[in-house]
Amino acid sequence: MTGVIEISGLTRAFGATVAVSDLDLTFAAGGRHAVIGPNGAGKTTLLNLIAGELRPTSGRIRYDGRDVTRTARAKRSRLGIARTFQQPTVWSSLSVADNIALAAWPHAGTRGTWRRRRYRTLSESCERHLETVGITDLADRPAGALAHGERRMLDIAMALAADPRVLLLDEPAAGLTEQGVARLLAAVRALPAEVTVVVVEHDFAFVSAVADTVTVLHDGKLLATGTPAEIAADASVRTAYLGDLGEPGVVEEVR
Amino acid sequence: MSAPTSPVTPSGSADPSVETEPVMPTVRASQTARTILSSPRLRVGAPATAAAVLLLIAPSTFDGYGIGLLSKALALGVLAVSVVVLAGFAGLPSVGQAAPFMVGAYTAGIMGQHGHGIGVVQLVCGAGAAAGFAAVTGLVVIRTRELAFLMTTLAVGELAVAVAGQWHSLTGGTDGMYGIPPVRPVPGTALLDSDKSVYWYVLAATVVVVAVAWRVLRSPVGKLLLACRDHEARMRSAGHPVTLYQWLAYVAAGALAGFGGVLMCTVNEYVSPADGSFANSALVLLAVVLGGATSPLGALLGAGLIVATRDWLSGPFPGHGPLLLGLMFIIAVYALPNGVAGVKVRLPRRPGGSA
Amino acid sequence: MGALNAHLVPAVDGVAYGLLLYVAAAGLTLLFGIGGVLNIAHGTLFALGGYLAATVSDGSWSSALLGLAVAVVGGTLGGAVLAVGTAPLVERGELPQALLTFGLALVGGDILSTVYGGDEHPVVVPHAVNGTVHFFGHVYPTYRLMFIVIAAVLAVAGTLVLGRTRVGALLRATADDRAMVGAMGYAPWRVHAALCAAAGALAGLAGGLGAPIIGPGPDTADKVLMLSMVVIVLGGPGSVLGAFVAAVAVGEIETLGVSISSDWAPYLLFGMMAAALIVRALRGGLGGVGIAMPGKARA
Repeated sequence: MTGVIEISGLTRAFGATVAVSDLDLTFAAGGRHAVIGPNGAGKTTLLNLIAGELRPTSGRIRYDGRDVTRTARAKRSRLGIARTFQQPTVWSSLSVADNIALAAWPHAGTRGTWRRRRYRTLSESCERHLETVGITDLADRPAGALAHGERRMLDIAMALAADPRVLLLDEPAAGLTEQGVARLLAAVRALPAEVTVVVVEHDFAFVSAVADTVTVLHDGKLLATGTPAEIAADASVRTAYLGDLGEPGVVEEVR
Repeated sequence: MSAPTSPVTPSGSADPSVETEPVMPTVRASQTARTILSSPRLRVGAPATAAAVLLLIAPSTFDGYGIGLLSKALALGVLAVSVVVLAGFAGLPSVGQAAPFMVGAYTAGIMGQHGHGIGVVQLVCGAGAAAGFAAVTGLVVIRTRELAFLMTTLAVGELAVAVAGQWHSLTGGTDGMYGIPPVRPVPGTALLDSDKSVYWYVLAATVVVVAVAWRVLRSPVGKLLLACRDHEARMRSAGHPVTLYQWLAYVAAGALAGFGGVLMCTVNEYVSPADGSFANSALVLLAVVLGGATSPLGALLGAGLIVATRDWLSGPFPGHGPLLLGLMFIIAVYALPNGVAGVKVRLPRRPGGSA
Repeated sequence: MGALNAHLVPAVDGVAYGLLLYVAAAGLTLLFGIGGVLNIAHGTLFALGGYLAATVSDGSWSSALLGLAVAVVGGTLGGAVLAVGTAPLVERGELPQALLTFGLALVGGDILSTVYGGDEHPVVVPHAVNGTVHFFGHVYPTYRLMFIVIAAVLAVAGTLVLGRTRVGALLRATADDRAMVGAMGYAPWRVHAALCAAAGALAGLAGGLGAPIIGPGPDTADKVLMLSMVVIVLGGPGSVLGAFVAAVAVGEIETLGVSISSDWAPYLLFGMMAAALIVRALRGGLGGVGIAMPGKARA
């Protein structure tokens, strides 16, 4: 069982604005993929379409060969597609530990998790996710009281707790300190090899460090695909952005 | 209302007793007062102990009228707890909870008039009928949001009252059902034919049902509901069947409301469409507002406070009950600054946001 | 054919009733769909308009017109009270505002019943229209026919304002995105106040004009509120054409339905509303607000 995402003819229009136009893409199983592009290129829309937050105007999305174009968001999540959000969203009234447990709950495979004892077992097994993103000491803090960086880490931990086969990360490095980015990198690298990762990012250094393949979107259309090195050298990509991306490997935040 | 935002307090000082919202520094005094009342953890603090003492000594200190008033407050209190479940925990601020309350009351009334006078049986049947009512109406109500949800629950409630007034053969029409015979709690016990005996029965039933509700709300089930309230979309993204949870919460709240309705019927020995009126729905909403959105105990205290105030004020101003209730509403809405005591309407789906 | 004849008069009555509900519900929709406020005091404003008109008009045309004017002014003032009351609550969401309007409704209703007592207050209609008209062998109350004409004109005028004028476009834009309109330079407070005043004026007008049809009395406020909400839910929040069809349908149920079988009418109302909600829920949710003009697609 692989975690391959196949997209064909995917289009999403909002009235007169076409955010994503006739995309044909495949995210190979177990790969580390990045999606980049100038603001407004349709990257987040693409993630929303894959995750099921949005329905496409036309086109198909296949997950492991199964057509999920019409499948509801919650169902897709239970099938193994997890995501983080551009603005990290958490459940503010609940503690950090509860947030992770609730995120893991539909994927835990045990029945009757609503019973106290089983819930506690689940919660304990989720502690490792807190460690992975480094927020173990915040476990009992109400999630609404977290600072932005901590909230981002919690958001990521919640996605990891779902034990996904496909992990969609929407600008995970935004607003993180260097230390946070390092931890994020470590967490992504620590993922099992079978998990397919799709990262939307602006930080090209992060992209180079994480991704095997980079897909460039521009105005909702596919501009280029290749390894990070190929993309960094691609002239059409450079002109799509305002100004140079810089040399491959140089840290540059393009905003 | 407000999306989860970065809080104002520095990370190290988040108050663990404020579980419902991030702390805003503006109005600390009422915040503290609210915190005391709204803590979901059973802080057996001053108000709770005082209330418990009052409830226990009431039959020997109050007259028949006072005891009856207290019994009614308890019945409405159970209805208020159902609002805690829906509005406080699930984030569904229904303004029509008096409808299942009325369904429960009529069930008890009809049973009583047909000779089925066992208290616990009436309670079970009333709660069941109300749950059925909620199950059916919930199928459509659950799919609405925000303003449409408010309007739909209001409309369902009003129509239920209209139907109750129309269905003479079943309900006795707008005049209501008089002279419902007193019940005996369990087969073999004495008939509850005095204010005091009815009071103890109502008190016992209230304590039991609220304790059960409280336990369930403190369990992982309560966490599920709170998360749906905080961010429904995130719950869906995580794989939870949110619509199912909300429908179940709606049915459970209906059952609770029906339970309260049966108690009200037992106290009054009379049922009428007025039991389902919007005034009742709004009254218990106000009680929840006063007591803290996620506190069943606070809801009970709030209901008691409103019933007592209304009664106390109706002495010098007879016949102006609605006016007094209306003024209480207006004052309460302005005086409670942090939204309606944390009763959050779910996050708007539209990017423009709601008012 | 005989049965049809017997029901023709109630059927025409139903159109009048329906048009009255349409005008009345317009005020509620204005605040609900555009202002984001569930105005529970809506029925109270209608009743206020009716009471004021009934007090002033004494059978002459001049007093009738004066009564109508007083009703509109009264409704507008009521709307102003609403505006002032809800203004500080706008950022706090729908529930606090709805609860406030409920408080105002309770207070207002109590004042009305104190001033006017608990009886029905029939309004005196100008003598010229206080009779009947013979039409194709049937006898219709003149006022109802006149009312149908007036209300139809109002409805058409309102639709034109909404669809063809700049004010109408602004209203529709506000319904879609309130924040955006603020960004366009229209002071949100002014828009809110204008909406409340307009809604109050409409309710007062409907109450005054429709007083011979739905007279002011102790139950008027609740009844009109409930029927207005049913019209909005049935017609689809924000749909102009839908509300019209729904209003006439409800009007027919309340008149024709009652004359055919007075027992089943309320159930029919309940059933229709439930059916409409179910159909709409199955088709995809009732969360939307905004104004859908007939013939124009919504984005």
